[in-house]
Amino acid sequence: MESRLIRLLRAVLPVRDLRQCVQRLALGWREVAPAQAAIVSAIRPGELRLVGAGSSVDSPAFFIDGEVAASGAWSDDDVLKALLAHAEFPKFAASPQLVIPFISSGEPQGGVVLFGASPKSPPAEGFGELGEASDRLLQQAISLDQVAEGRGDLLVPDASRLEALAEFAAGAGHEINNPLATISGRVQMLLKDEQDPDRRQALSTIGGQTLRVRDMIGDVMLFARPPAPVLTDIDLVEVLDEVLGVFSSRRDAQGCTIRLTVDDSVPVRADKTQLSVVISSLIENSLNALAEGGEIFITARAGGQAASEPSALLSVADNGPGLSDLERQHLFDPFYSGRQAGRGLGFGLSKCWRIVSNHGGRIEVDCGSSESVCFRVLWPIPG
Amino acid sequence: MKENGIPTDALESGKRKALVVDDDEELVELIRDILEADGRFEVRVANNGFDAGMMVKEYHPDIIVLDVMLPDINGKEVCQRVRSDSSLDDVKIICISGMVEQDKIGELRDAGANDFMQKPFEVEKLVEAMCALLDVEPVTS
Repeated sequence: MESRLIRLLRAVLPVRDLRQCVQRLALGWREVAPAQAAIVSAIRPGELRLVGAGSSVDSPAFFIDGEVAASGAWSDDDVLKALLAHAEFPKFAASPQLVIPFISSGEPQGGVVLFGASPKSPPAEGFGELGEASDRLLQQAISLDQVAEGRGDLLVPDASRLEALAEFAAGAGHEINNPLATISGRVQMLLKDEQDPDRRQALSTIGGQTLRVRDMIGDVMLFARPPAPVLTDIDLVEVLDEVLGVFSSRRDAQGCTIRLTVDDSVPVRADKTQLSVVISSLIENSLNALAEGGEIFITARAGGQAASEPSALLSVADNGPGLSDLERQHLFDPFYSGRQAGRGLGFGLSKCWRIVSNHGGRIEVDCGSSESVCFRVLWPIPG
Repeated sequence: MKENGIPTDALESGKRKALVVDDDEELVELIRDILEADGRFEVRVANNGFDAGMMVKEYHPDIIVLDVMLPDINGKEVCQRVRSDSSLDDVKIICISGMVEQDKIGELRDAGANDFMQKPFEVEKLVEAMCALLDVEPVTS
């Protein structure tokens, strides 16, 4: 479900403009409130987060068309009054559309009010709706970047958490391999002299399982300590074609369709093997989610989403059942699999995150609809 | 035989001298058993990098089976030290480790390791790799 705040945002103004708008307002802030300006200038746009409105703001400064309307310590009532009184300001023939507090390090530091371009009445209930929507934001803490990109429920992997998991996994992986080598080796030696078929079978099973653990640890290590990418300039479309070839029989067996919207050529700078792993993992993830007749939509575009972003875009979406709250929370965790326990290792997306990060790219998931999930990868281009 | 039970000259017995270095004693014993069962190797063991360094000079093995993650100095350093001593040029080194990072494995080879095997390994593959390095005919089973 798209949050109400996002819907409000979409209704209010072209959302891509929001970021500029906030930045412009923040510049105005610098002139009048040095202490807060220091905070604002210390916040890089990617770190700026939106949280709540009204009561969550300790010391909001309100801006209208880039000018400070008021600043200082405001109570809820003051905020409401100011907003309602705003209609009486002939100079500002527009209604308040959105209250955006700034927070830094989890603390509210102030806020801005955005105003629509055309005059509207600012009824109290309108503010109530904004406040309610903002309260949802308090819980979700959606980053400004995501809103500015005009997208809904966007999931971005928690890098610090994944790094911690990787650190743990790498340490555990190394330690487990030693006893595993002893078990595996002893089993092989016992097998050499064992004649009894049942006992041979049992020993073979033990040996086979140690290899299974070894492969799991190998996957863990690829997530935790992957080889440094060997970068070359390659065409993402060519790699995509190769990977699609590998999946063709499984796609047909599952009765799924893969629809492509792909530029003729999408130059990227990448380690080809690792890029293949990312594409494979995303397609596999979608196939796993789909029932017979499901569809996967793959987009590959040169130039990413915005002209200003020097990256290529790869997106893999499907019309599967969407993500549960739990799945959203653990989507990129190693060993987390949405499927039945024991089926699949749940490593695909962990590896994707690691590889994309190592390439200096970005991966995010749009799960705005309950009936679709879209993975977007922004990949660096040659250059 | 010497008093300590170690053959005085491995070449006399036709056996090749192997030094197994790993801090995991169970694993060291496993490799010792594997090599002794094979019958073509005389085996000594060390559990850390320091002992390994001492024994390389004293024992002058034909081959070192070297764990990379040792408690004191790491396997890469052991490789470098062996390779910096020209009197040990003929010593072959095969590293064993749980690591799967290709760049780290590359570093080991750069430091002078002749081969690398990932833990857990296939017993026969280890013996085959050692035989290949020592130009010893592998046993056909």
